[in-house]
Amino acid sequence: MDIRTKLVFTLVVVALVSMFVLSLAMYAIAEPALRDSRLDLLEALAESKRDDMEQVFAGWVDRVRLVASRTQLRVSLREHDRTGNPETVDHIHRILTDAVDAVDVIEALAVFDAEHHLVTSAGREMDLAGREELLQLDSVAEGIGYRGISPTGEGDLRVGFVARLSLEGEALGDLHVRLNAQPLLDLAEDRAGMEQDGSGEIVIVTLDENGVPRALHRLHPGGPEFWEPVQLRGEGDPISIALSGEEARFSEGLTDDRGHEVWAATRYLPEAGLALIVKVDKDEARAPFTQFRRQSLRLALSLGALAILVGTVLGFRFSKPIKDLADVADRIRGGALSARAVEAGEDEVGLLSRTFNDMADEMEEQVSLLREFKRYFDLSRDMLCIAATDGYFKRVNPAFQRTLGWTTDELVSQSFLTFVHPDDLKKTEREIARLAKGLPVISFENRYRTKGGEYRHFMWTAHPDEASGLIYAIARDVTELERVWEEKEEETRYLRRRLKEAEAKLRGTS
Amino acid sequence: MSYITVIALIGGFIYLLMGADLLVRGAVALARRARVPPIVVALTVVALGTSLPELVVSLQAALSGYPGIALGNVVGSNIANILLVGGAAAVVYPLAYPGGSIKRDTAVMTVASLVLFFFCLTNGLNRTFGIILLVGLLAIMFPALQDAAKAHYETVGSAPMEMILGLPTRRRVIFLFLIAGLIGLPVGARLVVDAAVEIALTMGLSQAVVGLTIVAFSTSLPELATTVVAARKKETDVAMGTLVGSNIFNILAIMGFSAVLAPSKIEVPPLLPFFDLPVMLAAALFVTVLAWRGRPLERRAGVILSSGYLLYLGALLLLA
Repeated sequence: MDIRTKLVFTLVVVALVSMFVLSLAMYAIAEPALRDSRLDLLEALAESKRDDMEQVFAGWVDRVRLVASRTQLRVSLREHDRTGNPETVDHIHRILTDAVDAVDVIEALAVFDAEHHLVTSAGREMDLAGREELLQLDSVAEGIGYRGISPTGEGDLRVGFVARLSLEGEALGDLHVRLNAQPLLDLAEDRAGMEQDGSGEIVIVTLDENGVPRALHRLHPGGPEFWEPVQLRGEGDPISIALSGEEARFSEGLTDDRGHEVWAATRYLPEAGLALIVKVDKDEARAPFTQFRRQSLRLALSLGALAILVGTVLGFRFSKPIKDLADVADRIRGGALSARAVEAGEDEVGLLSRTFNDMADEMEEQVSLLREFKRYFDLSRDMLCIAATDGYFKRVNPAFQRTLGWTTDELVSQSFLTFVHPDDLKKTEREIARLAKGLPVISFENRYRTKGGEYRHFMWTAHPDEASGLIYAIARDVTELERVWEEKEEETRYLRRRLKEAEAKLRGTS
Repeated sequence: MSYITVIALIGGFIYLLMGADLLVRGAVALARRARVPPIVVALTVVALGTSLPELVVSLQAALSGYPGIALGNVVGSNIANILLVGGAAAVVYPLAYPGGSIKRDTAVMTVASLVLFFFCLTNGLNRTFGIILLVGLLAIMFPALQDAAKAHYETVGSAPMEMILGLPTRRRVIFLFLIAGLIGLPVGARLVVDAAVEIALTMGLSQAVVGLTIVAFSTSLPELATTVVAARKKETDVAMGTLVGSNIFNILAIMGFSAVLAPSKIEVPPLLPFFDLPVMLAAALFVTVLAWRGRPLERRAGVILSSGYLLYLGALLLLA
């Protein structure tokens, strides 16, 4: 991978990772706040619903009081108690019928005398079972008891109240009131403030006579009918918590009868024994979070893409001088010695470029010097060589091949002593020993065998280099000189001989 | 339309371009390592690679239940390729018609356009239609793609991406490229499609119009850039072949795959067969006639084509 790819990939990965970490961190910070505000909303709704329920309940009590406080009723009842006059029964019945007709939430009324015998009733039939205990109920207002909410056999709910009837301190009997629970159910149905939440529900729960919590109304479409036992599974039984009067909120581990995880807030209306649970499916409650997370991840991804673009451009720019430098180095390696890097910038890469260029300058000079020497070495008619004291040539110039016929490889691959005339071996070894001691050799002569088997006379001048242990030597082919010398010698010898002969002849004749 | 949508759209295109580039580069490098002949690589990986962003966006749209975007993208891309890319490049330097396959290719393009037009008129963009297109693709793939691939091989050297990142050689890097490409493409497509759908929703445009305009224009931008750069260098020999090849591929492959993979039949917007498709067909015919008469796309024609594109866009937005 080239440096640009590496840089780009690194920048991209770093950018993407930091974007994602940022978006996840944002989400982690925002999530609890969003959850709290969501639960606050649920609680606010529960609170306002409880206030509404309180008002409905107070309205009922007012209506009961209104009927019970009719002087006519009490006077007639006293008369009935005292005289047993059947007319008073008619009178009481009329009063009750008027009240049922006039107040639409009142479904039925019944009046009992002091001996707990039914005097008369009006409106729908009333379930009066267990009415004796009713007066032991805590009164919800002065002289008014609350019988609770329970289903009737007619498929709806009734709310029962009982009011003491007395006149001038004399207990006369009691008035039983059956009210329509519809206003309460309307409250549960009214989902104002929950329009956003398709799954949002307001559940009103009360305990039946057996202590089983029951919902007053049908839950979600297709759910259990009204007055079904209601269940919310979760830590510490949320319904009991609600019915105990605790104001709680739940955001973890609460499942409703459908098995949906829900968030909920609870309120309690103590005088009516009604608990209120405002709940919404967790999935739906969390939808804004999910949306938030999706959007922030999307933003992170998109910004990551811009970072990729910037990273690519920057990576390209940052690495360009290095890439250029690498290209220049490559060109120099390919032989373009005059190639130079652009010395831009004051940073490390700029320094590197300048240093590189200086090195390249020096190298170019050295190389041209070397080339000069090489030319000198190659063109010389004298034989130039570098040898070691172990008897091997390290380097020989082409003049050797021209003179001896051996190729350079043949010359360097075997000891040069093998080329030396056997008669000269001894003195050659002596000279090498001299050189090994660091002494120069001047005008040493020996004979080298050519490839054709003849011998050439070489006149050597050699200098040892103690540091490297190498010998730098120049040899001149003096064979011709030697031959001329031999001829001259021969001629001299001949002339001498002739001179002697002439001398002898002269001596003989004389 | 929030700024996030705009950023997502731009970001999505960056992922698409980068992802396609990395995938192609990785695949070419892998093929090279596996000693696959270069011509096979050119025919498959590289030829497909140039259309990858369009393909992935259309498939993503079709699979996510927005087939209108896929259809709009194909028709819009084909219009943009000839009117905008061809027109703008011809304004810079005349686009020549090289001999050989261009006559056949333009004819194939016109026939493919006619087939699409016919099926749109009869509102029959179902799975069968997709299969017909894909069979057509297979039938013409080799002769047509050969030239496209050759053309791509010649232009790829001047592509800006090539200058930035080289071909990877080490196995780990090749797989890094492939994986990055395979992640980048769907991510980019998803971002683009989501952004396009949001734009359509917030601006009250239909999916098809968004596909015809924003998506098609944006997926044609890289082609516009490379072709105009080539025209400025007066190297327009292969430009026309590439554009025609791209148009054929858009209809046969992209439309074909989208129709096969879409969850249900692709609904044709009412205006499409009477406005956009005739424009596409006219552009295809124009280029075909020039090719058969051997006349290059001159500067004057370039001006007409590119102003035609602006007019088309204006009319489209007015009608929408």
